[in-house]
Amino acid sequence: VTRARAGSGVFAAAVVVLTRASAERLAVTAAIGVLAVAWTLLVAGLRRPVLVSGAVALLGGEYAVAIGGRGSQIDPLAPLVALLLYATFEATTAWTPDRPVRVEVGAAHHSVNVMLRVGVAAWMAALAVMAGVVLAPSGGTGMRVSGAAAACLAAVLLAALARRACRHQDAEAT
Amino acid sequence: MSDTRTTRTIVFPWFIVAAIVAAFALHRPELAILAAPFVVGFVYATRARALPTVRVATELSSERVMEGTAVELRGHIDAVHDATSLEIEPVVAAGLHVTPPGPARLRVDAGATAHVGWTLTCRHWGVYAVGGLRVRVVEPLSGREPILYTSPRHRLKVLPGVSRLRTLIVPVRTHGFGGNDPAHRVGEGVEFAQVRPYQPGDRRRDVNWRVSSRRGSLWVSGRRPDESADIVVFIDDFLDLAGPNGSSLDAAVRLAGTLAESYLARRERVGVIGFGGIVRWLEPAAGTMQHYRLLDALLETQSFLSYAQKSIARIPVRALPPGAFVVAISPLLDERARDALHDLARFDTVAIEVSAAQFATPQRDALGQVAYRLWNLERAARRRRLRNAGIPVVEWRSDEPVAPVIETLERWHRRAVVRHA
Repeated sequence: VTRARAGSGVFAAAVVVLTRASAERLAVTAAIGVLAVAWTLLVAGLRRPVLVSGAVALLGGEYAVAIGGRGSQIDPLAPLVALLLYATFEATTAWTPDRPVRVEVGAAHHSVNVMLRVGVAAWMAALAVMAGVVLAPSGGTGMRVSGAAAACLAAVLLAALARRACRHQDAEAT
Repeated sequence: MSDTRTTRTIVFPWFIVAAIVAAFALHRPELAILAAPFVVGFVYATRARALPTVRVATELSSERVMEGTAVELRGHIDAVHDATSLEIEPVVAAGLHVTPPGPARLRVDAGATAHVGWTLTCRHWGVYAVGGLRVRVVEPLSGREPILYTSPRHRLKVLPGVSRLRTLIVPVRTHGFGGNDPAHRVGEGVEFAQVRPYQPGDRRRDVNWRVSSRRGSLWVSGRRPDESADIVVFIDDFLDLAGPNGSSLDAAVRLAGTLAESYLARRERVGVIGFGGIVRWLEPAAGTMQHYRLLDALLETQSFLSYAQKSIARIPVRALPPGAFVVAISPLLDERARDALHDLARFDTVAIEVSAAQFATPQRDALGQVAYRLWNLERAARRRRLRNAGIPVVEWRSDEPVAPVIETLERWHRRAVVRHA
């Protein structure tokens, strides 16, 4: 648990460090960043995984504020920031149970294995989106329309997944 | 089986939508990149999974223990399919202290059996449902955590802790045979009672030759037979005063258990009456079986709120036989219980007042101090009224040993008997 808490703090701090805020926004981003890291550590310390989403949202907001000051150049570290953000969430959520749990070695190995696999998949997904963003022609109505279509598609996909999850639960319950 | 949704299935969609919307609003595609790992996480969390089939069995090292001792709860988990991450936790009633606390998470391969164990410390007497294990399939990064329950299979009886009493209050009236109390009447027995002139029908072996030779005529020795008495432990359970170290009813039940065990060891016939919101009784009897019946009856002692008037007239004669020796245990706070005690004065009765003062904290201001003193005076007056009615009564604090109280009661009881005689 101590390692998990330390991991949560390190991931959150790494997100803040990687934002590389511009000079005029440094004070704002630094304040939000410090608050986000403190929140994450507090959540890990209090063993309240429910509050971790607020910490991650704050970290994401800090990154949004930081990159808002950049020019049109795309941040090359965005996939890494995305992965660290996700890792912060999982480290704080999965390893801060509200009660102490005796974890046997076999179960711990399985958990680490799954986390590594999902982490690699998440990294690949972030890189793929990054490649799409870089390779796509910038500007233009076509780009906006395709972006909007992608957003709609994502929303539909989410709704479908949520529906499937609910159906699966109902089927298991019956 | 039931499912608990984790925060992933609730929070991740909001993260994803918020990131995409922010990316369009701020014209920053990096924010859309932030959503990508969460999409992967959401897909993984909501994917369909086959639940592992497990068989769970539990066993208790003992189903009847004394208060303050510990029992082992062992669980055996057989996995039909691979169960990569099971979180297992005993479902025990409040009042049992589980060591180590919290669940155990383990992996059970198909065909294998895993064993887990906990120590349950029984700090308070009572009947507890125990033995059910709550098994959760806790897949890492999952969005749902199915719970497989096993039903409680064991009832753990925690018997009230009893202490040894060297001195007991000797009942006045005895009857029957097979006890340890010398009877007041003269008959066939061991203990010497008197010498009297020989009468036709007396046995030759009863002739006291030493006295007969001195007096010049035949005299015989009279002896007291060993008899048993009916002991009824009367528990007032109208009220239960809670304190940091247990309640008044806890103390009363422990004291009742101590008295019952001690009297049964003297081969007396012991019964119990629970007099409160619900009136319950167990007829006096002797023997080992009665010991267990008494403990079971004591385990059911509870305080039920009731405004109904109660009277000992409702108690059947077999539960409160004429000539019974009654040991009443009461905080003497409820008027109905006090009335019942006054009614019990026609029996050979002694009373132990479970001190209510130990559960009361006087206020620090002057008015509170005066009220506290008045209340204590009122309690003393109640005890005096009972003594005037012929019932010796002694106050007992449950955090103090009971033996001195019993010795004091024995002295008072003996005096009362002599005075009555």
